[in-house]
Amino acid sequence: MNSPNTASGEAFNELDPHGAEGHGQHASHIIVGPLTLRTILALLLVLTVATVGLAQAEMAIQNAFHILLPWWVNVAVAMSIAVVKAFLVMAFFMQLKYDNPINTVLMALTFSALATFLFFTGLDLFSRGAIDPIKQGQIVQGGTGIASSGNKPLVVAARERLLSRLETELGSPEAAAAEFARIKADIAGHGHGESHDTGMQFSDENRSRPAAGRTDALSETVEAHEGHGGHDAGHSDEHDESEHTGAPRRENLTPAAPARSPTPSTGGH
Amino acid sequence: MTTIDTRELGNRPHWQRYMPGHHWRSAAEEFDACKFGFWLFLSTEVLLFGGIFCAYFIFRTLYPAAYHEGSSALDWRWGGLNTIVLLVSSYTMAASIYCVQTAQFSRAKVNLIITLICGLAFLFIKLTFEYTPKWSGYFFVLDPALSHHAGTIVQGKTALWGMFQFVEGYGGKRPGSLFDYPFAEAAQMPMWWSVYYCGTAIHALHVVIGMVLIARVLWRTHRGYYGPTHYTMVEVTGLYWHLVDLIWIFLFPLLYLIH
Amino acid sequence: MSDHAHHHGSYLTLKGGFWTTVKDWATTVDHKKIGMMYLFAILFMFFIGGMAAMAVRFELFEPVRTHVDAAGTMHITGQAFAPADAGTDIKPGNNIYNRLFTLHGAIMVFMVIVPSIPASLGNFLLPLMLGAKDVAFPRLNLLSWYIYVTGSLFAITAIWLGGVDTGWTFYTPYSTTTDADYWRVALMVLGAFILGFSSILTGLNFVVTVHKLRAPGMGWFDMPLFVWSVYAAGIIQVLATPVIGITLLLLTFERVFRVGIFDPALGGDPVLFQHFFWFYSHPVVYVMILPGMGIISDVLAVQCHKKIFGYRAIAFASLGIAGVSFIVWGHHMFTSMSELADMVFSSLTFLVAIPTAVKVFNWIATLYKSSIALNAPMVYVLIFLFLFSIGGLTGLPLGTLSTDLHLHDTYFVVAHFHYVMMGGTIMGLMAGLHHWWPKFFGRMYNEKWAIIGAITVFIGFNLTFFTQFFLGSRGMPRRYASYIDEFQIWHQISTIGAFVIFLGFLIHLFVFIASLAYGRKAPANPWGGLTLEWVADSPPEEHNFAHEPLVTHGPYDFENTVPPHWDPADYPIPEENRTASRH
Repeated sequence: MNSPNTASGEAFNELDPHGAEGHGQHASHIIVGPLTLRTILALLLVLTVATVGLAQAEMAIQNAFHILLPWWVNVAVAMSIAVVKAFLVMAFFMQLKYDNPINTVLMALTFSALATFLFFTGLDLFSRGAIDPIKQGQIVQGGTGIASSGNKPLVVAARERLLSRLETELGSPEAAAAEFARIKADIAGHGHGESHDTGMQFSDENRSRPAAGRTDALSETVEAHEGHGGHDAGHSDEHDESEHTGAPRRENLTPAAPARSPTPSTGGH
Repeated sequence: MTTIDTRELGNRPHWQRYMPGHHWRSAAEEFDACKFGFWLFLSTEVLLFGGIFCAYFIFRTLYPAAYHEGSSALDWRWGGLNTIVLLVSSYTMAASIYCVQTAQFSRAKVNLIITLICGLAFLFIKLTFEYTPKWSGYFFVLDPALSHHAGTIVQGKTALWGMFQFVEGYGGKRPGSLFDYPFAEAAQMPMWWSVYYCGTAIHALHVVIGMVLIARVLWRTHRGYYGPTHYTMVEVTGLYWHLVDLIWIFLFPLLYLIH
Repeated sequence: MSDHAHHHGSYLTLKGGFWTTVKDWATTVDHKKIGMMYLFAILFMFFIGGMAAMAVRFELFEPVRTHVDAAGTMHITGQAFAPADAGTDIKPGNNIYNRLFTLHGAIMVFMVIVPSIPASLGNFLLPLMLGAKDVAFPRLNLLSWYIYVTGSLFAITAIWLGGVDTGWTFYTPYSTTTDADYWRVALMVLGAFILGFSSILTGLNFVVTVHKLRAPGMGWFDMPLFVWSVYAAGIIQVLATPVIGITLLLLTFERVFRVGIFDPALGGDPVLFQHFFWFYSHPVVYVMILPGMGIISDVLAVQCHKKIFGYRAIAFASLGIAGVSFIVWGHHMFTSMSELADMVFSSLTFLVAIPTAVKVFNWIATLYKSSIALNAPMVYVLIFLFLFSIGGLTGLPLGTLSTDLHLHDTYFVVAHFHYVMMGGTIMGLMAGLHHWWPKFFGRMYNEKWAIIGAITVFIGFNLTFFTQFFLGSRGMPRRYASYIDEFQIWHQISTIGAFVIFLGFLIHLFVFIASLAYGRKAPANPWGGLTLEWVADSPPEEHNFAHEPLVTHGPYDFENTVPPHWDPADYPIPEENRTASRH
């Protein structure tokens, strides 16, 4: 096992990279030329444009043909392009392709540790109630609130703060609600205020992909907060494939109500 | 030990006079070890961000509606621009290593300066066009998004000598208890902003650290510390900067594109 | 080689007056000095953590009792940390108690056991065992010591300001909602975050050192097993510690800005915090124990003068433990996870038993028919084997779902991890400290009193913690300042045991001080070891070796090799045993 003769013979060089012969002879100076670097930069830029373009195209297709692509298409496309980009950066810019393989092994170990972390954490958090429903979701959606939010969920507290300020400024709750609806429509960047007449009727009817189960609608959270906390507890755990694919919700996708813009609201069109 | 004629060496640039640490057998081994050690450090950085990615992964799967809504509030164009800025800076960083390796020092310095400028541009875009409006509702006057809020710009409410204009109801997209955005629909919106700010702010902190390292390398390149036979710090700083880029390569689609 | 020593002087040789010496040590990049600085910093923190433990046991000597006398006045007895007549409110005492066990746990885990063996003994011995002049990055090594001190100062400041009562695990929402402790929790958490950096840098340094600085002729399987175990621990430190970094950073954000990732009041998930926390804190359990196991392998082989049984099996078991450590963290959370995850983690947990048992059986096999020198290091090895086996075996009912639901958060758990952490790591540290004491300081210690100390610690340890198995299995929950009367006898035995442990360590302290003051000058190789640290002088010269050593034999090749600097007069084992064991 511990051969006394390791200091001589063939095996020695393999076991010991710093043998008597050959130290200082490392080919450690890797020079990656400008042509390679520019090619990689060009590829990375093309891939960046591609990932943005495909994300846009996906939404354009959905809006144009009134179909709902499965949720994973978007994720798979974006993440595979990101992985390819990361691979290019690591292999060429960071020179892993030419470097001592130990560094590549190390990165592989690192990413497998990360994968382990995500996998087992997800294994627990996504399987609440999978076997025994009594254990599912003890978390109150949106939180039970803290003192500074008046012990209301933060989203509710934020909305009420603005409404009460508008009410003081404008004088009546009706005027406040109207102003609320106007601001909401305006900052959405499209002016489609019809679907938010009262400004109070929050709904995810117009989303192409609500996906999260009922408790995500604000109204239900309020209800839960007002004393029905028990019943909403588990709903977040009902997110299975049928919800992600959106099949039950498909009828909600009406062409007349593009409440979710294809481009983010900060930019408008 | 051979004697070294210090008078002759004294006139040479620093990198030609460099001697490895006394415990190394050669400079090449020292270089190898430094690089391996830095890769170990990079794996800790990957796992540090791993926590953010884990939180994102869990909450996105549990609360897709909130993440959909949150992602729609981000403008992919600023994210995309920042991606390009970082990719270009990664290229110039790699190019500066090549220039140092081939003793083209003025080119190396130009590349390092471009890298620094890109880092600054990244932070400027992030702060001015992304953080400030979302956090406070104040838009930079040159922000193209401002034109879409004509109806809700509060006239007379400006900051920094009119450089920033206030849009009613837009701000307050803050994490956790600081959350004050009144038009949020999903109940878990504050958590989206928590993950967004934690992830991007820790990333931005790494950009700043990377820029400090690059500035140091720039100064020392100027002073003749690095050259074809000794450029460990340039190489290692480059690795760090590429990691910053690498993290952003993942943060960008996760935050801006997946909806 | 010993002639060279006269020219160079040992690393302990003073460079000048007091301030010169202070400056020399404060700015040193010599791994030996840094290792010794770590050793004393860690022993100081061990003292503070130990005092907290004594206070905890003192409080638990008696349950808190209230009774009303004939005049109608309420009396409270059994509260060590609040006056007996503090009124009807028993809370002040509880608050102090909560702070004490948090203090004990946080200090012992983050500031003592995690860095104990790698940072002190590892720093000193790793380059020596590899035949190197220093670790790969000496300045980084010094930096990590300063980071350790900074982190410890943060924690001590938090304690100075009144302490923290979250438990060492900082579980949310305790750690996010105890408003009275606002800044102290943030300080303590930041302290642990900073300590993580120290741990990462040390681990990183060691991994690179093992890869790049082995002496000519030393292949991977010619490394001493202590090096293997420190290497495996280093990999865990690098891959697991950043996750506690981000956890504690997010917890600080949570504390200061209330970001709500973990706080259920803000919609967060406290169980997510537990996942984050244990993804680090379970692997780190093996950062604690692996170097201890490495010490046992080395000390055992040298003190038995026998080639270690199954060298490769032990080396691979170290790596195996490091690998398995990343997939079993859920067994800390059986009561908070989903059943599916519970079952998966419970099944995976039993994998830990395989490499661990491989090691224990190999140690036992090494003992068989060897020439055991029954000196203090060896006594500690035997203590380790006994206590660690109990600790390991009691881990099985805790890894089993059905039994864990009963034993979860009881004194059974407390006893289990004390048998592993203290019975394993601290006993390993004591074995190593005695074994390499002559190498560190060039002085022999008093063997007789060291053994008396070891036996005292052993007796005290079992009195303290074996009773806690009974308490736990009968339902005594952990982290309570009081208990029902039926448990009092067990608690009293346990408290007496704690004082016996204290006495044992006091004896060791005197033995060490006496050794430094009056100890016989140590030879270079007092135990007849074959690894490279015994080639160096005792204490080693500044650059470790006068010539770069060339490795020509395995680390435990006792049958074919004459130990370096071997002087039969120094040999601690009887002549007849000595001849029986070698050709």
